[in-house]
Amino acid sequence: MKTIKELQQEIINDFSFLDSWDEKYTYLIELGDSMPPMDPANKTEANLVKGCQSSVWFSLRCEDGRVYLEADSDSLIVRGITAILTTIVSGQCAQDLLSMDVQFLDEIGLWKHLSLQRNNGVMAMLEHLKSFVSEHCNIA
Amino acid sequence: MADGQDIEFHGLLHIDSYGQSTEIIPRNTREGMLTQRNSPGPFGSIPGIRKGGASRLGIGWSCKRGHAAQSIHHIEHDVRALDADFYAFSSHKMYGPTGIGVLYGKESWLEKLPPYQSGGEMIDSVSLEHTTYNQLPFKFEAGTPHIEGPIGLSTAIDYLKEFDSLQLRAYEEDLLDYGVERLTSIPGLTLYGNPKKRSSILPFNIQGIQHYDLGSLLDAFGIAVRTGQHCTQPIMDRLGIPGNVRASLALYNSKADIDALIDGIMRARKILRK
Repeated sequence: MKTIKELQQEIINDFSFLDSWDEKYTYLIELGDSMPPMDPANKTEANLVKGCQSSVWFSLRCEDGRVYLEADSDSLIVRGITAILTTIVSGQCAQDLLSMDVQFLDEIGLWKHLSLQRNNGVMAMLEHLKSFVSEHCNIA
Repeated sequence: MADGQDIEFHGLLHIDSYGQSTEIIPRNTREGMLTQRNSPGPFGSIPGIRKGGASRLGIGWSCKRGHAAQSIHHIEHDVRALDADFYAFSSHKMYGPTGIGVLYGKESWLEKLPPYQSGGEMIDSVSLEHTTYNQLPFKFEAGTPHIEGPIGLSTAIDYLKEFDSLQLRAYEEDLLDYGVERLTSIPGLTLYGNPKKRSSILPFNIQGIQHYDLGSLLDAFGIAVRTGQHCTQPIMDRLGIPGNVRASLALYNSKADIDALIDGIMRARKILRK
């Protein structure tokens, strides 16, 4: 299992080959498209990430100290971001997730241009993830 | 407060439904004031603030208040002609600094109102038995003032006064007409609101494209728009619009900016419709 840091570095490398905004966003949307669709039954109020401008659902579960994430959004761009998060997060140790940051967002450059209001959405996703881990995973 | 029942689809409030004080039952004294807000956020229609429309405060005062934050730099305002008791607008909507605004009030009202903050300069004399407050405007200017704000705002006002307001209005209307013409030529685009008088904004959606996605891409292309519900959820819910993209025009914009917006929309659409 690769570490959170290694997985983020892979994403950063992938994006570094893309020059224009058009290519970067197209790739991001493709990542979202490649993610399996979320079971509609999991699109509950409790799974709705609060603080995002678009609707984002996180379905999280803990198994043997590891966390698994399924995600969806009505926005193609946000769905792409959640696909990256799913790759980075799923299967990781609960303990490691509590201290994770989302450095890939700064490095791939997509977020530099986003206004504070939109950027807050990503922070909201991270908060949602961390509070789930704190509340539902037994961390020694 | 508008409850959404009095909104027509073209984005105009039925202002007559607010006409007389007796028609408005205040839920509490704070809501008892009738606010006529021109140019509501999601549509940019100008209902035309007009004389009259007083409502009753729970304490038996009658008060007319105008809220002009969205339109202060677009249309002429004359508080005397409106006979407004109060009139409010924000500095940052007229190219001034953030964190400051103007509340105009008739002197007779301001004399009646007690200070809302305490601090230096707002008192006349203080003793343990009795305190009297300073005269206007000092009784509302407690403590160390926000010094740089008024300086910036007054510079912004001077700047705006350099322009002939009629010419400016004509320029902005011409830009808006051009924007409406170009946007409505895009297949699948819905332009919201169809008021007789539109004020400065062009709210829209494109079929099959989420507003946030379009806004994010325009952002990356260097075109600033706002997306979402524009702090007007009740109206948007009533009209069944989950959110939209809103371009705002001002005196510093040109037709080239509108062309850039249209090009940006076409470029974004290619990415989002694969």
